[in-house]
Amino acid sequence: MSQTAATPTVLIVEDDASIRAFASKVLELEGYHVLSTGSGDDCLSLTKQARVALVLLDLRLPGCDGWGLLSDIKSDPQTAGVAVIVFSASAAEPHRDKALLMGAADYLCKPVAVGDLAGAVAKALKK
Amino acid sequence: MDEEVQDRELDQLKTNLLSTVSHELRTPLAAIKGYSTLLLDYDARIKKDEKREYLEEIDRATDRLAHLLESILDVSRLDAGMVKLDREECSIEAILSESADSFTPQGVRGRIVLQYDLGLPLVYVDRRRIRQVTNHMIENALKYSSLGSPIMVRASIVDGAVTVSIADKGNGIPLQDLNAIFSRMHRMEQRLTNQPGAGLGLGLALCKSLVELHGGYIWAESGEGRGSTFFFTVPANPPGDQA
Repeated sequence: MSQTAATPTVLIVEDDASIRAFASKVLELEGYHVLSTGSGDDCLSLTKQARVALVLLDLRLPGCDGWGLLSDIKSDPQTAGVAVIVFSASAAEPHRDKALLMGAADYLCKPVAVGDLAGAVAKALKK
Repeated sequence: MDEEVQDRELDQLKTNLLSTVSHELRTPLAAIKGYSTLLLDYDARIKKDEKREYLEEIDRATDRLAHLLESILDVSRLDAGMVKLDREECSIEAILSESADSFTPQGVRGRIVLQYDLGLPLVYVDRRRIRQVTNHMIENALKYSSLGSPIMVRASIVDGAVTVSIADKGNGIPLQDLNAIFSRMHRMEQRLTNQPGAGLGLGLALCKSLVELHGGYIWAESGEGRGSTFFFTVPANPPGDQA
């Protein structure tokens, strides 16, 4: 879909191609402008350049630490206001607490139903 | 080692195993749950060819899940001494060829180059189990080397044993890790420190157990930036030598 000023841009950072394609499709159907990448390397630059409103962030990425990316986004004045939803395969409660403490808007544990993903993104963008 | 320390290490290993298993199962589960709810909730807005694509994703994720569960069960069966080999006399060339051909659907068969020495003797092995070993080693070689680079699979006879080698041109394995890669605990520790890659890290430990069950040896040669070569032997079976 074409991007308009009223269409929030969501960046999906997820190394599993299947999960990335699924999340992209759901959020496109929900009316968002969606960007996605399988690597964490360009996460911060994409977030800045594309005026991303929300990052859906996997924690385990090739050669890259998702926690570090969350910290980078939240500590850079240019991106500190961007909502981040951590999208992780770890169900560990301390991970959820840590993510929220670091400024994440939400913590989604895989697997998730489409309604939960769409709901969490909508809620985070309203905050 | 002190008994208390051993107990603590065993507890830690169990906790790590549970955490790793849980994490690895969640990724294919996420695809199954995601695509099935996508089909259910957005049925009217999804094109027919997209529906087929999503069903294929669910099918692939289910296979991945079944493969992970099978690996866990295999480890448990091997630990309990419950794996019985169903040996038969067969050619190692046939096993390697079948193994290479199993990568045809993924479109990577062309990268696998098979080489056999002339006059290889027959081997007396559990065909399915040895194929499991070669499949895992080829899969690893494909995963850890750059797209398009060849994977050399070779069978030769060395000191009376049929020796299979699988060589890639990947980044290689640091020397300090080389001896530990067949250890289950080592691989799991890697997985828990955010190392990417599919699987539970049980594959090479499984390969080692299966090769040793056949009376063979398994080892690897590598160095950072030099690629890796994995080797295993299976005893040759001269006619009339083994029942």
